[in-house]
Amino acid sequence: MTAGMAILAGALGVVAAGTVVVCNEGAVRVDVREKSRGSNHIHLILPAAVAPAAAFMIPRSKLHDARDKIRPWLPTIKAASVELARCADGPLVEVDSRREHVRIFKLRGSIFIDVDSDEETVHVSFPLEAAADTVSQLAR
Amino acid sequence: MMKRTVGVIVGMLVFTALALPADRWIHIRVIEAGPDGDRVRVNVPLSLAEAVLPTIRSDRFCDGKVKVEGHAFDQVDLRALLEAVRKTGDNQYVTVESRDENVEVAKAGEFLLIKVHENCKHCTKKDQASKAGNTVDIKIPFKVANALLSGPNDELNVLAAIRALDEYQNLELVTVKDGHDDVRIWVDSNNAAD
Repeated sequence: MTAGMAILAGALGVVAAGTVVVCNEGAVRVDVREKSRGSNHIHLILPAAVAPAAAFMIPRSKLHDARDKIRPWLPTIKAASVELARCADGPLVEVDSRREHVRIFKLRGSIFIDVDSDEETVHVSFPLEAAADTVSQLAR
Repeated sequence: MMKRTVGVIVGMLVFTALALPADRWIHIRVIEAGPDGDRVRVNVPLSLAEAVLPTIRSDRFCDGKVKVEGHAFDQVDLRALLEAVRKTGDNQYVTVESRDENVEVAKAGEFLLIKVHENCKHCTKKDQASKAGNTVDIKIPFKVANALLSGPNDELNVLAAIRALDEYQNLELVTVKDGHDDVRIWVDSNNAAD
């Protein structure tokens, strides 16, 4: 084996290991679909492992007063994340009305939020482990 | 020998699973009878409430305690009243019958029972129809009530009450039935409402 091939094999190994780590952490998924004509559709999937880093990279000027609003709630978010990760899977909140259906549930270490209203459908899911770290980065 | 070892290990695992306390969940269910027929179900593990409540700080809520100054019960020694009722035998202690509603406060074992039944005798026929059978049933264990009132007179210790609730397997706390809404709050070890 030449030195070049060894370096390539090593690099591939690192990439593969990184991919496994990233995939194991799960993904943050955001899907917003408006129901009106000419509607927008936003679909975002972000590996949970990179979510805190992505949050860190958002320029502070863009966060405006979000940091100040989030900061007091950081201990609450952290405590909730730890306890929710520990508790059994299941529905947490269900709201059914004529115009809106909301489901918030925990499944396999992630929180899922589904909203189906007259105006739009929203699906958000995120692994609990990533939630506290990401919010911490937003509030830095 | 192998089968015996596996049997012992399985037995130990089952024993451990049974010995570990199951999570308690508090459930809130609201069903509206109106044309929209809204339904709300909330299921919260008591352990989550215990972990989160001390972290919430607002002007009236801090460290799991809520300030209630200005209300009638900061003038009355509720703790002494509660303790006196707890020490006596089971009985119906308060009965208030009025034109509008009947209120009963009773003690049954370790529970304080409060029942409110609306009469609405002076209402119009239309109101009578909508209010007939409106009832509120509250069942509070004395331990939980004591924990709730464990602070100063102008304070309710919600966190202590939640911790005290953790001792109860299945407990129907509040049931409200009226012409419009059906509200139920209870504690059990299921992670989903019925």
